[in-house]
Amino acid sequence: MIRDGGCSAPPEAPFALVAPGEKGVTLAAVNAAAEREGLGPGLGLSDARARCPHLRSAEAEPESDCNALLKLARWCGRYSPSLNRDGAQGLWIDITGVAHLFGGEATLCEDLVARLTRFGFTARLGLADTLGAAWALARFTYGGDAAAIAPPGETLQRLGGLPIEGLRLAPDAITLLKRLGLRQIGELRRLPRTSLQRRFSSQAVAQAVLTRLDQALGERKEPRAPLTPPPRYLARAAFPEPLISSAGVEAALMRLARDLCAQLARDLQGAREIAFTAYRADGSFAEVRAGLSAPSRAAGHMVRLLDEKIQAINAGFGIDCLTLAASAAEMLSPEQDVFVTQGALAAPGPLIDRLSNRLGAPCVFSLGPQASHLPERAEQRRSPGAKATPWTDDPLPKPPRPLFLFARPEPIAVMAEIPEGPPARFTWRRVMRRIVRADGPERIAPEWWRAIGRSSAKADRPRDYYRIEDDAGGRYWVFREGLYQAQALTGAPQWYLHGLF
Amino acid sequence: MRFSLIEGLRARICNIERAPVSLSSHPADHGTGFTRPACTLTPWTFGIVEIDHALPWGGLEPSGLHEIQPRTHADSWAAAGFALGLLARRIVAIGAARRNLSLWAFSPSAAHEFGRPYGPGLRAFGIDPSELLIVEARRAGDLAWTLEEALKARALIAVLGQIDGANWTMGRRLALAAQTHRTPCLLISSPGTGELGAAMTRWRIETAPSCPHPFDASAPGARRWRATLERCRWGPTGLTWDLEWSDDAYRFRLAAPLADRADDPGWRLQRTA
Repeated sequence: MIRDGGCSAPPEAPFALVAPGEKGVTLAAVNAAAEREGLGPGLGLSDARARCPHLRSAEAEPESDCNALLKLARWCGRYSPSLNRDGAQGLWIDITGVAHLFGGEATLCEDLVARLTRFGFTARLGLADTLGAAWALARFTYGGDAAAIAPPGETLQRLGGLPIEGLRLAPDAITLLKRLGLRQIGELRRLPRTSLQRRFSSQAVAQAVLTRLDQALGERKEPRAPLTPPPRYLARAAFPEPLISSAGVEAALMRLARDLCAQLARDLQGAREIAFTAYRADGSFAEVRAGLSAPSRAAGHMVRLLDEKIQAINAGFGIDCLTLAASAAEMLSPEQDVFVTQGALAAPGPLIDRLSNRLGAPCVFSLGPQASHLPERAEQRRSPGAKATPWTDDPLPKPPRPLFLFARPEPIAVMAEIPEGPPARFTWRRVMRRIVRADGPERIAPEWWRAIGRSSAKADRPRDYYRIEDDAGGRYWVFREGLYQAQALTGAPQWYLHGLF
Repeated sequence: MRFSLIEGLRARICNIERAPVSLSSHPADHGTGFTRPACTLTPWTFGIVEIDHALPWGGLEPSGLHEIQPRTHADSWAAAGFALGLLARRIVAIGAARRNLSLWAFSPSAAHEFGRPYGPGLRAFGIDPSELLIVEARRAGDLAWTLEEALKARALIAVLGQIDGANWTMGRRLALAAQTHRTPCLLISSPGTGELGAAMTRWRIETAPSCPHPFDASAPGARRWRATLERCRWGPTGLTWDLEWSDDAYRFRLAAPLADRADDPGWRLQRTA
């Protein structure tokens, strides 16, 4: 696939992308007009200029080419979720089981070529039973349609006449095969395997050639790594006329959600994460995701979760394909509905999902216990749907703990009556408070294993907590960090307000 | 015959107005003077006869909006404590048969100003922190949306909101959602803001000095708040009680100067649901 567009040069004028090479600036890619002039990649720019004085050139940008290819790969998700980039100039798409959605393999290929042409790409397609065969067909079929299709079971016939380069081999292996007089894949195939092995210098090279041959012919499996793990559950809707209004998208979303939920129900699964993707007619796409706190296959709930987010999707030139996938699913056994609905509380899952999807998951939480004596570490946030240790296992802390705790203890200015006693007056937030009652101290030593490796001597200062009440009835939980005896070692003690009752 | 017809009509009107039926005697004596499906009516009592009798619903209205306003900024913690006490009473009333989730929503600025709810401290109110959904909503609009959604979900036993600038529209919306979906909403507003017309009751809370601890005269005793019923639909207003919260029994009691504890019937009589 060669990128022609993007520059001001007219397509009929010779044009080349250049990159600095070992022997000066060389051509990296040429357009069809330049190819007709006899230019090709690898040629030095000065030689090329000599052959074709009106050649226009621009610097090659391999990185942005790579990004563009990645973007194109994602856009191809409209055809099938299992796909990836293949080298610097190719893509592979696994269309197993999806061709019928487009009216057959030939129609799918036509549609893909037509769309790519519209974006300004020159594309060649190969479609075969195996990745290797499709690779060879796309690159080494000359003439005819842009798409070369090998019908099921006819891989060998179609591949037999293709040059040996179609096997994705290392250059030295190709040179050797050509020296042996093997120029076509069919010729290689007809040779006995054992005799082939003997002709190669090393076992590894011979094995590599045979592996590639077997992979192309489907006699050996080839691992594939898709760009994103394809979801097991996917609902898809294509529109002959692009959708412009969000009302149309909403209506389609409901249909997709019902379809997806039917698929999930068949396998007794519930979605934990859903992804809604809108493919625009101009080749861009927009994706919206929503997480669920508990597995669900309620279509209405999914639609409500996505409803607010799809307003943000810009329809642009129109949306012509929508997919809704369950990117994560979990077992969900059918449960009997509540027999008496009056007075019973509904399940909290949908509410938690709606809140965390709009406000962000970290903003919705509940508190779980954590085994620590340090007050700020005695609790931990957790997601509300998660099952965790119950609080009831711990005894109630004595002395009592405050209702509100500051994330960071706030420093206060204290006038203590006696150095080791509770404060008599203190100033917090510029207001002086007179203490009438006090309870304490409760000494909480820091966890010594946390102080390891920290250079500051202040890191492991113990805290003395006091529960105090001022003359108006305000109740505070204050602590003094550090000991008066150890003043010389760890610095003067400091007072903080940690919480309020 | 005629009497029962009139009674029936009166009940229907009251049902439309969602007001308690004012019969010949005091409404609280009837317990359920309402004419609504009985299953939704778990009474929400203070556990103090004086207060429960004064309120037309024999306690707080379990499907309405209640406003709790601190008198000054320094009373904000007392107002939150009072609201949590009410929530704890609600948990007791509903019973621990199943998960009783409730929700507390506030803004990050409130968290910065007042601190965040602290799990071990919540347990002193008899509230299981793992059953309290805490929501920190960044924008005021999100906070109101959260409260309304939580009421509409019908999945919670109570919804608490700590909101800075509550206005009339928001109050009306929350009150409607609370009524329609039969979920109570406690709104802790900031001092000095105007009152929400739609609230069923409005309490003004003040911190009060506690009595000495029974075993240590110099230590603070139980939390004490002065609660004034400033507004009550179909009920009396201007009543003031000094309330104490018992960390051991998870309940309110009248503070000693107003009622001698030995004679306080609310202290002996268990009026929980």
